Amino acid sequence: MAKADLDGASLPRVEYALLRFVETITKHAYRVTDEQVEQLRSMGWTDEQLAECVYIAALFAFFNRVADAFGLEDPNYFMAPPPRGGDPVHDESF
Amino acid sequence: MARIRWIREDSATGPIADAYDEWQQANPGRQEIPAILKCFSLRPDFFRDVVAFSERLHFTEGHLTRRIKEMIATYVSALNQCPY
Repeated sequence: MAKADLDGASLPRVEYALLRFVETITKHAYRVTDEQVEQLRSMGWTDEQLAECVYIAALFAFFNRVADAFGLEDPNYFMAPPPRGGDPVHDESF
Repeated sequence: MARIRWIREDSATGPIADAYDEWQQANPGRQEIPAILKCFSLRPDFFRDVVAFSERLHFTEGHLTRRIKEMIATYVSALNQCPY
């Protein structure tokens, strides 16, 4: 997860799909499509849940940009902090 | 320290001192204000808004569980190559 590598994570199918949605929002939100949202609905996600997912993804994009612009040091959330852009050793460590 | 100035706990006065105090009272056991929050210290009114906003949205059970929300947040930060 913290490696941004979903293929290496063992996740329920519906959570995997939700994170693919998060990925689209984070990388290029303008590419979200009706079909993607409909697919998530068909898996059982409610619009309330999808809306909240969008808010959380956007909130953390906000915090990420503030942290990077201010130049914050790594808060050591990870057990073994990687160089920026590198591979963290641990997943799900917090 | 960040490249844009922020107000440290020990030099906070006025509205930001009050805001820091309230945060510490709401988060017992945590003496230091998290760096990400100190980024908002030059706008004490907005600092309060950010704290309230993120707590309401992220640190509560909503339509999504806290576990799912934390998973989303972790993944967004990883995609942004940001440790926060």
